[in-house]
Order: sequence, then structure tokens, then C-alpha cells
Amino acid sequence: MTRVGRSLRVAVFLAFKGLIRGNFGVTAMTILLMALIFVDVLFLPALIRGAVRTIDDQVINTVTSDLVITASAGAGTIDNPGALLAEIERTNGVRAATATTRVGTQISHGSESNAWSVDAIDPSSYRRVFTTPGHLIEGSFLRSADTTGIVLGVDVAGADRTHERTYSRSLKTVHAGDVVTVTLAGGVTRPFTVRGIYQNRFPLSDQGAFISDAAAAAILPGAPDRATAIYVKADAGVSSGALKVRLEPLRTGVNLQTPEQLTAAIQDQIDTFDLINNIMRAMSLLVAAITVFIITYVDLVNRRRQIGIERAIGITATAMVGSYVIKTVVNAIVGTLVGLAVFVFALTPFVQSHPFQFPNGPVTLVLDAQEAARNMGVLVAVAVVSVLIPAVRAMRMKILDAIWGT
Amino acid sequence: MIRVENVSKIYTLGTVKVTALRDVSFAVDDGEMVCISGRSGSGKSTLLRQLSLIDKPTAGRVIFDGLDVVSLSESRRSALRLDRLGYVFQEYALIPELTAEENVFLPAMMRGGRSRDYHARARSLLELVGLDARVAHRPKELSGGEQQRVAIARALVNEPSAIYADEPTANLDSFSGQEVMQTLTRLNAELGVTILFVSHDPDDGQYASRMIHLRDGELVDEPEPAG
Ligand SMILES: Nc1ncnc2c1ncn2[C@@H]1O[C@H](COP(=O)(O)OP(=O)(O)OP(=O)(O)O)[C@@H](O)[C@H]1O
Ligand SMILES: [Mg+2]
Repeated sequence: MTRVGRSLRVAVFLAFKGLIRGNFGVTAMTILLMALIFVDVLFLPALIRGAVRTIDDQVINTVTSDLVITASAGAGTIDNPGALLAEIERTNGVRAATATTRVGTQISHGSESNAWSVDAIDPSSYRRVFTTPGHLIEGSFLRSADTTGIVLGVDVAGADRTHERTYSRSLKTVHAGDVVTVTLAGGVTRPFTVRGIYQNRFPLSDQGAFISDAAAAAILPGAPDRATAIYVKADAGVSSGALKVRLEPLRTGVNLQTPEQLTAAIQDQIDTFDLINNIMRAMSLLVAAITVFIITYVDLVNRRRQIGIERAIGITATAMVGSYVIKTVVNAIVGTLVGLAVFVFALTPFVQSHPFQFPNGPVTLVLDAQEAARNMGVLVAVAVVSVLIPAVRAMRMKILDAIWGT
Repeated sequence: MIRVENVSKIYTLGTVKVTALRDVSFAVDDGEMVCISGRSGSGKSTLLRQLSLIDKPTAGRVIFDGLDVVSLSESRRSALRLDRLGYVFQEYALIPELTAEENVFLPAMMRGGRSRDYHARARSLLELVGLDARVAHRPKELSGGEQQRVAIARALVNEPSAIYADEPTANLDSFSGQEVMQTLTRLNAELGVTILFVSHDPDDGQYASRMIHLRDGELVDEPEPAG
């Protein structure tokens, strides 16, 4: 056996005996600290990922669906949307599609008035593409034949929810059953009865207002032949990109956009979190490094004489440093696994049942396995470096000073 | 055969120089049992550390089996300590997490022996020092004298040609001390291993085949008169 091989064998032996017969409190403490630090390292990115997922879901469920088709620049509207819709719905991978037409620009109630867009929708297909109809806080959603009703987002109605941030810009006191005045295209104003008020908890969609296609057709002849946008919901497992490729050949002169293209601006904001995240992680790793360093350092100081004696009888420095490294690696791995278990089996389910209420909706923790594995590797590596420094330094001490020095 | 040639050791503490050994020369034949005696501070421990390759003399040579060990690299000296020398410390020199048996075979494991061989050897050595019933005990479960005998067994595990013991009985009561000294004497007789030990106690001279007296770091013929 080579010298290094023999040293490694002794290192493993000493580490193993040290772990099973050494100070249990110190081992438990190290593992606990490692676990806590690992949970800390995992937490913020998982929270950010959870928040991103919430925003993504909100965008897809209430604003864009899986694919948005709009008229290309210049045209303004999509002509003959009915034919296109029929073709889209026949395409493989499409679950549902719905067309909307921008018909209004202003809503007022009493002395309150503001610029909001009002869209004409087909309530039955809209319901299959978006979740908004399921998020009513008052009243009910539009029926297809309803020519006098309107549904408002909570940011438009206000609904006496004075604690909402958007309350001051809303109509403030509007409830289901009230009548509001809508300024339609061309300046026509019409009263509409509020059928329901919805709240998606997403600013982009909570300031919407909808009337039915039937209402639009009754007031604005020609409205059914033009659509502002068509929204397409994909079957499960079909990506927006794939859907785009399949639908592109159906019609020229239209724009097809995936939610990713539409949320690029949001993504930019999220990327800034990466910086914060890296700073936090660096701090956690620094704490881990200092913890391991201190634990090792204290242990080495207490064992100075013993280390001197072991070296005096011919145990190599490699064997002793090796035993410290192995012990630390084992503790770090066990610690991170404990941390991971706590995160996955305790923290995540807890947050699942008590989500953080962010402005964009309830946020849970979303762990990325690859990132967790990478962080685990980094944490173990940091621990190794932090144990090596004091251990190698301790071995440099003269045997004489180690055993008999003060 | 161990030869000490004109060995001097000067400790430097800042600007203060302490001459612990002054031009010491002597030789020890294989199989001898030598007692190094002298007053406190006379340089006994210092001398033993130069012989056992734990420290290097300021001047002079230490020849071990024909090899000048002073000029060797630290890793060669470490290997020599492991393979050829045994050292018994004054006290508490066992690894607390290891059993008596494991403490004994650790140097053999370090040397690269086969697991079955060194387990057997550790057991027979523990039997030799009268501790066959204490094989699986941890150091804290052993008396001071028993710990010292485990340390002696450990010093023997790689079949060294010489064992050095610095006041191995200083922390023991007189009965345990006698047991340890008798163990050393028996090993010297049965295994023929050279033993150099340091003692304060003039009575320990009885165990030695020869005495070396130190006074203020110098070799003297006669022990210093008491007082
Ligand atoms: N590491 C050291 N650094 C500085 N001086 C030392 C060191 N070790 C010993 N000395 C000094 O060298 C001299 C001899 O010390 P040594 O320990 O060899 O004596 P000793 O005969 O073993 O004494 P004792 O019987 O008390 O153990 C003393 O004056 C001591 O103070
Ligand atoms: Mg001494």
C-alpha cells in the first residue's frame, strides 16, 4: 500500500471512530447548524421561484392564456375571427380558444370616473380559456345572451374595499346590481348593470371589464366581425412554442405571442432577484464556513497534545487532516440531507397550507432539484475548505510544542 | 545500537538561551535497559526527545543502527518513529475514541499491515502486558497504570528496536508504577527490545542494566548527592 493509501485508511478509521464514539453533542450541533444553513440557502430561491410561478400562472390564467393572437401592426383588428377560431379549435393540441374585442374606454359611476378598457367576450369560451369567471367576489359572471350586463374587476369597482391599494383610483363603491356608465367606441355611452365583480389578485387582470358579444353586437353593428385578440389554451403537455408553430400557418397578417414573450419585462425584474439571492447565499455559506472553522478550531485546540502524541508515534499529518475532512464531509452531507428533509417534508407542506400572500397571489415554495444539489455540493466544498485551513495549520506545529508547549 | 555523539541542545526563548544538553556522548547496545536519571531540569526529557526523533539537537549526531538520524527529512524521521521506535509518554497518551486494542494496533495500521495480523498482534501484546481482559475498554475506563501498559503495548506493536519512556510511572501510585516497570523489564528480557527510560526515582535504578546520570545538561559518572 502506498503512503497516501495507508494514511487514507487510518484517516477513515479515525474519522469513523470519532463520529461514532466522539462527542455526540458536537456532532449533533454541527449537523443541526449545517441543516439550518442549508434550509436558509434553499429558502429564498424557492420563495422567489414560487413567486415567479404564481405570476406566471396568473399571467397565463387571467391575461394571456398559452398563446395570444393579435392583428399585426397597422391592421388594428383581426377580421372574420369566427372562421379563424373554428380552425384553431380543430388544431391538435388546442383545448379552447376565445376572441375578445376592445369596445369601451371609460367607465363611470356617480362622480367617479376613469379610463378602463372594456372588452366584449364570448362568456362560454372565455370561461374555458381563463379562470377569471371562477374568481368572483360578488354576483355572477356574464351569460351569453346578456345584453345589458357587465362584469368588473375589483380594481375598477372598488366594492368598498378601502384597504386595497388600487381603491383610490377605482369607482370605489360599486357593487353587483349597481348601474355604471360605459363610454363605447365612437363616444356612445350606455348604462350597464354590474352582474359580478371578480378578483384575481393580479393587477394586470383585476382592472378589466367585460360585456358579452351579444351586448356589443346590439350596440355596435359589425363588432362580431372584428376581434382585438384571440387567446388559445393548450392541452396539458403542449408548450406555447409548439402551439405557435402549429397555428402560425393558419392565417397571415397576425402576430402570435407566447406568454414568455409577453412577460419578458416581468422576467427582467425577476432576474434582479438573482443578485439578492446570490448575496444571501454567499452570506449563508460564509456562516457555514465560519461555523465549521470554529468547531474544528476549538476541537483542534483541545486536542493539541493528542495530535502531538499521534504524530510522535508516527501517524502522518495526512491521516489526521484526512480524518477531520472526512468527519466534516459526513457531518455536512448528513446536515444538508436533514435540512433538505425538513425543507421538503415540513416547510414546503406547511407553506402549501399557509401560503405567503403576495400582491400577485398566494406564493408557495418551489424547490429546484438541480439547484438544491448544486447548493449541497457548494456547502460541502465550503465545509472542506473551512476544515482544511485550521487542520493543516495545526499539523504544522512542532510536535514538541504540541505536546509540551503552553 | 544507539550512539549519541557530542549532542548539545540549546532552547531559544526570545533572547534567552537555555543550554539543556551540553556535549553529551554515549552509546547503548541492543537489548540494554538504560535508566536516565538526574534532577529536575537536568535535561533528561530533552535527551530522550533527541533520541526518539521528536526533536533535533542544536549540535552533534544521533546514530541509530548506523544511520545519522539528525539530518533526515521530517517524513523520513516520522517513518522511522513509526517503524523502529516506540515512545511511552508520561501520561494520557491514548486516543480517547479508540479501545485499548485499537489504540495498540493504530501504528500497525498506519504502517500498512493486514487487518487480521495487527488485530491478533494487538491482542497478544495486551495479553503480554496483562490486559487481555481490557481489550475493548476505552481509555477512560482504564486505570492510569492500565493506560500506561496499553501505551507500552502500542509502543511495541511495530516490533521496534528501541522503546523510550519518559517517567512512565510519574503519575502512578507506587504499586501501579512497579507493575509498569516490571512489565518493561519483562519485555526487555523476553523480546530483547532496547529500553531507555527516564526516572526521578532512585529506586527505579534496580530495573535498569545501566544508569546514565545527567547534571545541568552534562553527563556525570555519579548521581548528584541528594539535597
Ligand atoms: N521546550 C522548551 N523550551 C525551552 N526550554 C526548555 C524546553 N524544554 C525544556 N527546557 C529547559 O531545558 C532544561 C532541561 O529541561 P528538561 O525538560 O529536559 O529537564 P528534565 O530533566 O526532564 O526535568 P524534569 O525532571 O523536571 O522533567 C530546563 O531548564 C528546561 O527549562
Ligand atoms: Mg522531564
